[in-house]
Amino acid sequence: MLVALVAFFSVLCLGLSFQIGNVREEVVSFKQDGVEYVSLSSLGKALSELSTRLGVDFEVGTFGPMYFLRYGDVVASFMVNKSILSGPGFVKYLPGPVIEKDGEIFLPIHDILDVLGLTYKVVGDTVIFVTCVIERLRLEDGLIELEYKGEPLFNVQVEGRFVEVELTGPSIFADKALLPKEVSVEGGYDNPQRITVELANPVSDFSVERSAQTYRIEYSVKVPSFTRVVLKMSEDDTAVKNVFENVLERFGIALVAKPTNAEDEVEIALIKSRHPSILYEPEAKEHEGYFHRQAVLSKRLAEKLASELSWTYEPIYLTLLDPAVVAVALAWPFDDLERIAEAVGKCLVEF
Amino acid sequence: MLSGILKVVVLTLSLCIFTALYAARIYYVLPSGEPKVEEVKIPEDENPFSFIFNALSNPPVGCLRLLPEDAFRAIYVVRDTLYLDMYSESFTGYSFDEVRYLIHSLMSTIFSSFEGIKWVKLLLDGHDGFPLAGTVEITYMFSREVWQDWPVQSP
Repeated sequence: MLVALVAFFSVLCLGLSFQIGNVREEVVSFKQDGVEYVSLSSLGKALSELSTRLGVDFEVGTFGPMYFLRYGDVVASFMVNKSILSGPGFVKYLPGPVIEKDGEIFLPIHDILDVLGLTYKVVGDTVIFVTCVIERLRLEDGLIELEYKGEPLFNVQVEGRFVEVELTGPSIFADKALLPKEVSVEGGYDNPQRITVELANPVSDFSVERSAQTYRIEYSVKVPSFTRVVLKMSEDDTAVKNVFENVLERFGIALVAKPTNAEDEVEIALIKSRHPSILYEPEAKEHEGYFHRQAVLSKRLAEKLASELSWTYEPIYLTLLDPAVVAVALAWPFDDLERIAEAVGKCLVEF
Repeated sequence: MLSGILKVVVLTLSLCIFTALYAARIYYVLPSGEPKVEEVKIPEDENPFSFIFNALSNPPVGCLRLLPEDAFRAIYVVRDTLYLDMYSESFTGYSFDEVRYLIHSLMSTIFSSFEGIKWVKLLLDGHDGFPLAGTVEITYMFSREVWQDWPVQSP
């Protein structure tokens, strides 16, 4: 009875899982005398999957009474009931012996993973294998280069001045040195979710090139024709203004309080309306060609904004618009502010 | 001799202006902001401008009534420009959408109905210094080139 109780308390099923990429699988594991064990068959299955993903050689076998695991350049040998892992040039003493139980071989999990040089994280009862190790991030004019080992778990998105690299699976930064000030990492070095590079000017075009160890994002930037916006409203609305200010800033466009008639300035009037549309002032007879350029550009900008927002565009003479500058009015119910402001930023950058 | 030439010029201009007199196109506006165009025949003994403005003031069921009745102080043509002098008080309380569609409706109706009219000048109480319903600038003349058709375009 006592022996059975001792056996029950000393061997506990762990319910451990291995996660590779987005695939999570429960493994045969238990804890005995404080040491966490995993079955060789579960480990072999995970190593086989990793070897396929990462292009690393993997082999498991026996040599006389000895078992061996070869993963990449590392070979680790062990024997049942012995507390030693050994290989060319190393001997590692284990916290517990290799166990044979119910026809399965069990190994102390963390020791074998460490010996094989695997990068992993333990979150709760899950061992997450990191299949993408970012070794270096290099910034140059027109280039963002990631040197990595493993899988290229990168998904690039560009918005205005921001190049965002989303990490689509478990990743880690090998080098914990400080990154350039233009780079921010959401989730930190050990669990990066998104790498954001803030550029001085909005990106006009980009392409991605991938090799076995480098991921290169080549981009070109556009210095926008308009870098300043005068926001006009019939009634001042600070909340609306703040949204536009924050969003346009991301596109490298500043809100200015008063018109200065600078070449890089555009006036945007905001009007509350049930029917979304972009309004522009056509050239008037009274202007006699004085403001021809402004009228042409205003109409072109209205057309572009309408296209971006899937709205209509129409001519009208408005007190809020100045024929002497490039100016358009946005009429809509003042909903979806962020999206509208983003469309304005995008169009001004591309204009 | 000179008066003869003048008569010919006046007659030619009149013909130009009233060529399409018998088939005016009225641009009504639906609550969605879309136009509803109707062709109407103007009786010979009717003043064509009064007739179409009266039609706009009394839209069919389902269309917006954007032009008030008796909104005009005076309507007159100088060369190729139609002057519409309106009472400012007729448009008090107009929303932005109402005044915007009123302009499109008026202009499209005028330019598609009277070929000789190239410009429309709006006045409020005889002046152009104050905006219509507080938002639409009337300092400038509205052109046929821009408003001949319904001007709200999809990209």
